[in-house]
Amino acid sequence: MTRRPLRDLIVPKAAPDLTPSLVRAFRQQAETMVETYIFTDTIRGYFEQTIFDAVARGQGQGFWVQAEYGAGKTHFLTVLSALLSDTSQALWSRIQDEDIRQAHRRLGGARLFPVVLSLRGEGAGDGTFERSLLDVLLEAGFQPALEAAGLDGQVRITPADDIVAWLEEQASPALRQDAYTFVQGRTEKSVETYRELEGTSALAGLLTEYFKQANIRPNIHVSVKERLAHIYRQLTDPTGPAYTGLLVVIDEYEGWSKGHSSPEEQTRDAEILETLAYLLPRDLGLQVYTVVASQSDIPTKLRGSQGGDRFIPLPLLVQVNERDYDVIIARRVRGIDPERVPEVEQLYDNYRQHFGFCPQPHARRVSGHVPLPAALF
Amino acid sequence: MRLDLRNLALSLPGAPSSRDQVARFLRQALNEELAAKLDSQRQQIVTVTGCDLLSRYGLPLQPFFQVASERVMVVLAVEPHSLTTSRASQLPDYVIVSPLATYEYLRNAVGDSATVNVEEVAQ
Repeated sequence: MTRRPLRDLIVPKAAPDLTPSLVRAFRQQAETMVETYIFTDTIRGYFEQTIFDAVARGQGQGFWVQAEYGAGKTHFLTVLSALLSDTSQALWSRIQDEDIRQAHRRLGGARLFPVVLSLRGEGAGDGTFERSLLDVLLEAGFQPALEAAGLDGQVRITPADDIVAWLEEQASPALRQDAYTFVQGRTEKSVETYRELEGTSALAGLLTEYFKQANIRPNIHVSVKERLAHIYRQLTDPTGPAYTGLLVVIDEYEGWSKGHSSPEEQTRDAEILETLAYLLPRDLGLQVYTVVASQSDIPTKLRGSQGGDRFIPLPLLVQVNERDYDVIIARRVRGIDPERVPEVEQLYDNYRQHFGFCPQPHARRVSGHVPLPAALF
Repeated sequence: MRLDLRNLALSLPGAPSSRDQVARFLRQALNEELAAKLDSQRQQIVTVTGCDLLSRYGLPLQPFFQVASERVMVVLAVEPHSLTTSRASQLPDYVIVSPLATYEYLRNAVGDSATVNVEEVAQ
């Protein structure tokens, strides 16, 4: 019996985007990525039993996705972010994996506000303009996320926003007028004009000077924990945006960490990640889910006293699950013509007759790998 | 595609003196320009000039990393010393001119492996 040529057995798929940028992929290609994403057994377990489980229980948690370059971190993060921030049937019905699609019910009415950012390129080229991880999180994470959600100006994220708001909403009319006069005297512009031209941050700087001079201390959330909790409460306000929780996804942490490797910087960054992943959920009961992707392992300071209680490790393509790569590639680049499955098995039988090292195949695994060499099975 | 940051700066909605505000305006304009002009389905090279604005205002290179892919290459070109020696001599003593500031800023931001110094290569 003659065997059919491979081109008759397989159906080539469109070339995927191999180097997606997380933020762009999340904003512009989420539907396609959800539709084409390959859930291996390992990844299915991470999604279903680890992450969805935490969300279903309403307990905030940190997750640390560790993988080498090219292992699919960005695809993983894009699909995860999309599914957790949009639980509509329209999106979830696109998922190819039946088990994951079924997990939809467990998430109930979860509606997480997605703050998705990549730290790649966020470090400054010199120390003069260096920003902290919190600065980047607020400016490159929260701010664009609010704009994308149509909430720009409705949620105050920086201390500068709060200083200006405090003056406008809580200060006495006399104090407010005095502060306006101070700004006018220093800039020869009205507060509105100055803010429009120079921004909220510059105006808050001037107001801070005024407060010092007038010996006034506005009640502003200053610590990392207070600031993030303050943002969370605005986003989950039932009379406002009414999200049920917050999803913070940070890609490319390794590069950032290498550029901020002094003990002080490491401590400061660890404090922010610990606040997001541990303190806000445990101390304040906030539903904050933090996913950090890095090529390196979880920093010691974030391991916690009990392994993984700050961040649950989710390694991709390492040791026990390194064969996932074969599965992903085989399934992502081609499909099997369903009418040709018998011929696929025939092809494998031929391999097995000629190569003694071929194991007894599992039918699903054979069709999952053809036409890759049988040795990969 | 050519992208001159100085031309881009002319389109900003104002001329603030606050560094933060300039950086914010520039970053926003840069993101919009790249999104409007780049077709991610085509192979393209983006040559960026006027990069001294990046170092002057401490702009992160994230907008460029966001568009760079297997199809899009971004080249950040640093012109030979943008401040000539004659002009530098007119500055007061307390001002130190660092002609390599832009180059060093970009080199630190992208790393040595992604940096080509044509003067070093020529030697």
